[in-house]
Amino acid sequence: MSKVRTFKGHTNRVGSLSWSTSLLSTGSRDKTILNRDLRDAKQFISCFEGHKQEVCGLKWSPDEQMLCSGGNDNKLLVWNPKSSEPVLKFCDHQAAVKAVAWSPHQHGMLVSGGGTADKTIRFRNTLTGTTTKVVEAGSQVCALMFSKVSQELVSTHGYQLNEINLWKLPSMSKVATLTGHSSRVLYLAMSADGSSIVTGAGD
Amino acid sequence: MPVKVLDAPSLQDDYYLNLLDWGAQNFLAVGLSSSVYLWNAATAKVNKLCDLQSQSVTSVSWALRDANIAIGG
Repeated sequence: MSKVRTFKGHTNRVGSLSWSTSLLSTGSRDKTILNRDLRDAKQFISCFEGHKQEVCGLKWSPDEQMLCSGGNDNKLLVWNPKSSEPVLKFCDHQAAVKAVAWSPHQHGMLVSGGGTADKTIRFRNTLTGTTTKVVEAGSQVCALMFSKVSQELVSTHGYQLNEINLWKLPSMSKVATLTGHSSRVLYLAMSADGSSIVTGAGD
Repeated sequence: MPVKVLDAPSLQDDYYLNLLDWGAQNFLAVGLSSSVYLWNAATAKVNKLCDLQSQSVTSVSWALRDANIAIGG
């Protein structure tokens, strides 16, 4: 593999990335989100300014019509790629919003999870701009991902249980709790076929 | 119980980073310190993709379909 391109433009570290088919969006501690086009000579084609602190969660919707961003300012913002202002703002988390995921099954459904002072998982209908469900997760929410193959949601947690939970949708009844990490389970990824997950922690 | 445990020395314990991604080509990418490593899930072989030298890797993300990977620092 070889380097295709170096994108500049941020003045601080880049902690979150999300691809759509044509764009790469990058979220930074400099509070901004820059949208990059590999086919365009410019460093970025648009800039989203709305967060007051580091952008730590970033995800394009499956239909690529909306980008959601979570920040250390406890805000969850939803952007339309053509607009310079967020189209939706959710300010109900009490801690940083790193865990964000779009449903692959239900159009416009977004979930977000809050940090240690919050510990909730919140379901959003971005078509109506409403919060449809709030689930107390009991621990810092580090990552969220919908199953591609079944109606289930997986969440990974930090303070203080350091566990992984599997939830049945839409009831959000807990199907399983996976343990094994001895520090917070910060990182979560799923195989392309949806059959396996991998989790990472500082332990 | 996990089916496989991969050793990831110096995986940063920083809530704001995104250091793990599993791409459509079945490679798992992990950012460790200033380097990015790829684990081929089909063969279990590990390759070092790159080293940002003095800069820490703070995010990794595979493109949706092709074999491009974005690395943030």
